[in-house]
Amino acid sequence: MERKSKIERLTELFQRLQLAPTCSNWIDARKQLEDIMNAVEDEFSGIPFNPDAANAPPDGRMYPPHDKYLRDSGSPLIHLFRHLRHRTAFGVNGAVKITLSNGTVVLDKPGADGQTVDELYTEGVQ
Amino acid sequence: MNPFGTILSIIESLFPDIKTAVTGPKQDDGVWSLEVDLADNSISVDWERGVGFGISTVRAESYGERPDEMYPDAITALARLITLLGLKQQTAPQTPIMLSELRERRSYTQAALAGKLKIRQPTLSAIEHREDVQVGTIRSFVEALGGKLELLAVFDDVCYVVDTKLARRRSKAIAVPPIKRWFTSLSVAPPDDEARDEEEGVPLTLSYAIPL
Repeated sequence: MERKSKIERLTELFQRLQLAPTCSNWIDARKQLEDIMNAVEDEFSGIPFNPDAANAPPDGRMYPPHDKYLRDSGSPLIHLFRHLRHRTAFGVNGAVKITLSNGTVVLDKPGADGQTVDELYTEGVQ
Repeated sequence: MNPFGTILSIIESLFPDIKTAVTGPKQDDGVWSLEVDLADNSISVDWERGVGFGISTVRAESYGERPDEMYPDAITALARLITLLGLKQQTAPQTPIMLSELRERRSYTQAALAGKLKIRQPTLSAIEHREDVQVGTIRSFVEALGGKLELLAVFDDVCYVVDTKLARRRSKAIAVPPIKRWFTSLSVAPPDDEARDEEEGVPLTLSYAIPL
């Protein structure tokens, strides 16, 4: 197995997410992120998946967003998760936006209707 | 309720230039977060009911991990936070780390570290991706980064610091039971005068799960 550092695995994750088909709802978009992240970690981390990772000490593997990190996004159209360094926002239309805590956008993918998370925000507050 | 009230009032008085942000969970049983920025040191503090406070230095490679360090109450978490901010320290996850990640955390490029080790950059890259690396090589790698290599043999009831400078000593095989996920065995090959590499010392073979 080829092992990669976390930065390399994150880069791989964002590339695969960008190339993956667009989703039409936030449940599918979240599932897609979970599936791709777990696939990348299975391939390159060398660390087995822990189904109870959200309640366990860190094991060196990266894990998808967990419900207990869900935040109030300020819009009924956006589901927002907060992580150590990233914010992951899913739009009800399947859009996904991942932002670093310093504001740098690392992924901004529209949903099946072509609208991005930012466009949904604008719509949601009108 | 804001679980960070005490922590906030004290760190804001100790560090006037500090920037803080608190976010609460959407669900009652979710995780609260306090983000702290002071100069170029970013620290995240989590609080979860029944679990306590988790503290992590924010790094580029973070996504979805649990906090590096856990503290049962606000006072112990506050003490650690003040230390991290005051001394500009970083938290360290108690998990195995790849050599390449270690280098990145010490802010070295492959080229810079290779230069310090007086080897070529492709050789350094090969070392970082090799499955089996001699302890002497790891020691040189760590020392070039400014650190010191310590090798622990961990048993259920006791830990031993293993002497990694065995080049000029007679030695025999040491068996270490598989007590930790990342150390499954440690053996020291008997000295072989013809094959001995004075620079690297006696070859030690480590079988471990961490990718070195």
